[in-house]
Amino acid sequence: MKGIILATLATVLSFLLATSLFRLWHIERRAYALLWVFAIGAGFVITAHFVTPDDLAILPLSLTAQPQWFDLVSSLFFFGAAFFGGILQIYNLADRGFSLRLLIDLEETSAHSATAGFLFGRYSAGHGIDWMYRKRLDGMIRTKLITIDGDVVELTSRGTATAKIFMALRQVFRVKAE
Amino acid sequence: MAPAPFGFICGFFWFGSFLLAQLAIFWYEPAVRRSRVLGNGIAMTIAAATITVALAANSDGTAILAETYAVMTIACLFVLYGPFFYTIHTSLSIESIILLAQQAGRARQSALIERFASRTLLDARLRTMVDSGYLIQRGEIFVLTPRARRIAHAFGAVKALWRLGPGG
Repeated sequence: MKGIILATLATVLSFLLATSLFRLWHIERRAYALLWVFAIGAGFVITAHFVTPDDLAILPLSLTAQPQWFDLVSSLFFFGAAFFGGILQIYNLADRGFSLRLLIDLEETSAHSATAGFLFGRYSAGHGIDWMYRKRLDGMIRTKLITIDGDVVELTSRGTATAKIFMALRQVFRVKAE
Repeated sequence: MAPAPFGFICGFFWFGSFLLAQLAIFWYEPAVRRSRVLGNGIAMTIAAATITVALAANSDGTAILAETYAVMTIACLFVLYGPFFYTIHTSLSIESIILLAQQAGRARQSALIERFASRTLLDARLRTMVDSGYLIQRGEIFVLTPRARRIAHAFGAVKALWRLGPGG
């Protein structure tokens, strides 16, 4: 149980640290900054594991996980999941989520409803759907999946490899293109 | 075996079983409502793990530790799996590079924008959101469901807290 408690504390501290960073500084590469937050949180988990007693001075014997190396490994696993599946995903959805942005656009209308035509033109507080896609293209350039020369978009070798992996995954999951 | 590692392994085993079962369902019934398979599947997985631990537990009071580790493990694996699942299914960036790969690695930027920033794509996404219970369609009007309003509120608060701007 000590591992779960330390992982929970690290997650809360990471959320507070991320919030402070985003509010106090203008950060261009926020996802990259979050990786540093994760590293600090993982450091906290490891340090706290070694400087605190096995029972945190409050846990009964029946709630003390053994062996100790497992307690540390599981704590890092739980924190990693909470960070990458929680904090990082919340950031991704809040900053990039297409469907979520549609929900927010609808919420911001007086009747919490709209036509598809309205949403198409007013997507993301008036930026429009093509702005959304150009952001995606910029992201793919930054992550070296594509290059753009004039009007020609070309896959890099990394992009080709990534496409092959996801084509195979889509076959396994039997996903049809949207 | 100590209760915490036992619960951990139990959680991994049942989550693995869920993955295989879910893949089998999608393979043989590709038109099934996938979000419902995920939700029901995870609930059944947690129930199965809880029962397994309860049946195998010693009567020394350590069952609660094993149960906690089993449920926590499944929950953590699910929050890691969820983004992966939705990336495969809905990511426009992934869709774009797959399209490029199918066209010998090249395409016109204007053609991609026409395809992926199109009214057709938006209509398809809105249909998905209606099927998933986030929107109700009344003729040409799309209305938020109460659940969707709560989600929009919550993420709007996060965007304000983190000063993220409109995004999307």
